[in-house]
Amino acid sequence: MKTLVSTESDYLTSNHSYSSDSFCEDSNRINNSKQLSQDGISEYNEDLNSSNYRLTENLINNQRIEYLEKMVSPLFITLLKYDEFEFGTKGESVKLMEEHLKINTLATITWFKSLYLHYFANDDKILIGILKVIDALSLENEAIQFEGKFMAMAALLHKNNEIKELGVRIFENNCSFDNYNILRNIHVETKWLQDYINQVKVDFKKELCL
Amino acid sequence: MNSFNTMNQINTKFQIVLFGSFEDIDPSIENMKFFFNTFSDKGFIPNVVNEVNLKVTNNDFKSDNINRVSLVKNDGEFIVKINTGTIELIVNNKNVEGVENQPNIDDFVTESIEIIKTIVTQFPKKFKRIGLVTQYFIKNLSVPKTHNEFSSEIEFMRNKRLVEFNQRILIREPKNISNSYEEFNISKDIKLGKQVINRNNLSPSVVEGFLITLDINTVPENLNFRFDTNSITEFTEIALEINNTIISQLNNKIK
Repeated sequence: MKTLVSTESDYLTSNHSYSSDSFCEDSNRINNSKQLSQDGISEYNEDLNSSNYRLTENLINNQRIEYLEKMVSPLFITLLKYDEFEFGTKGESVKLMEEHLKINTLATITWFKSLYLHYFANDDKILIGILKVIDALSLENEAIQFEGKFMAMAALLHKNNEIKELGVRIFENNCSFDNYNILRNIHVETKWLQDYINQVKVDFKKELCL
Repeated sequence: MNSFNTMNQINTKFQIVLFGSFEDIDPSIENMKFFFNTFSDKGFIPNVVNEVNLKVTNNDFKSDNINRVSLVKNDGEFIVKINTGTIELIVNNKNVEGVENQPNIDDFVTESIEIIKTIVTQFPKKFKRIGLVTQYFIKNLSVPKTHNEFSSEIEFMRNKRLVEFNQRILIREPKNISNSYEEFNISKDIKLGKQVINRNNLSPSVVEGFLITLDINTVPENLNFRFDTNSITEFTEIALEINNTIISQLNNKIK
């Protein structure tokens, strides 16, 4: 198999035998400055055989996403099925997410959201696991906290009551002015769910002294 | 003939790329003084530009200085970019004036080699990869007829109104540089495109034609820092010969 060689990085291998050691560099520290070319046109590409091959942010992120899809998804889904998510302990699925969020937050979130979308329609049990991971991480991880809001809002629309409830719980476990404002603008038809949301709003009002 | 019918050919871009390690050629005061003193009488103004720093190696991520040097001549007509991993010399025919006042490939290569030699004298370097990219816009052709010639298309798709056409081929060929075996990537891209042409005292016109891009480079797998300025000169001679052969054969197809 032809060996892919990067001009700068030695973690790209043609057989994609990545180990977490190879990815220990913190891609999140990649500087976001753009190359400002005088002619304003960036003609760089990701074709190794081109003179204009450059290791680009897109290439790194896309390769990371591909790795997560091929090599991490099977393990992650299995862990989601069997994790207990007990109060006070971190499940293995949560630890796995944390590890990959440290390496490349953007790519990991993109991969995580695609899993969410897929299992939203295909497997309630796994979707519940995903929501529990969001719940566990949203206090500590800013990116999960942010993206988790959208996933929690979507959960409110699911036909499964446990999933709906988890959606509210994600907001409930994170008392903030933003979450309060979001909940104020949510209205659901299901009575017990709306009552739950209302209770959370009341609790938030007290805690935030509104 | 090593060019298309000159009435039809517009040289849109020439580029030489050198791959290596150039972190030390940063926009420090000393370096900028050197670039200003050495290149200003050649018409180049040194600038500081930003670069995305993607140097990711095992267990060692450096917070690099992300400012790099760029030398600009005549408001962008000729640009030299000194990135951390590449040096690029680019001539862009931005203000296309028909076929007049076009950049010339031989002049570009000659000037580029002089610039490279000047830089290497100050910052002794070897390179691990070299590339030459040339781009031409061919106009005033019958688009369907030229498409047929370029593509050996099936009967149904021939002589129809062409809206999109992309053709790419990449080959590898062994060559010798400094008596060492090297492998060259040679790619040819042809696509249907439009070009804005400015004409004296007339409003610009947009013409349809074919954009041909040739990319000749040493393969990326060989990471050894082995090329010096002599090798670059040899490379450009070989690459120009390949370039001219391809252009000549394309010209024969469509005349």
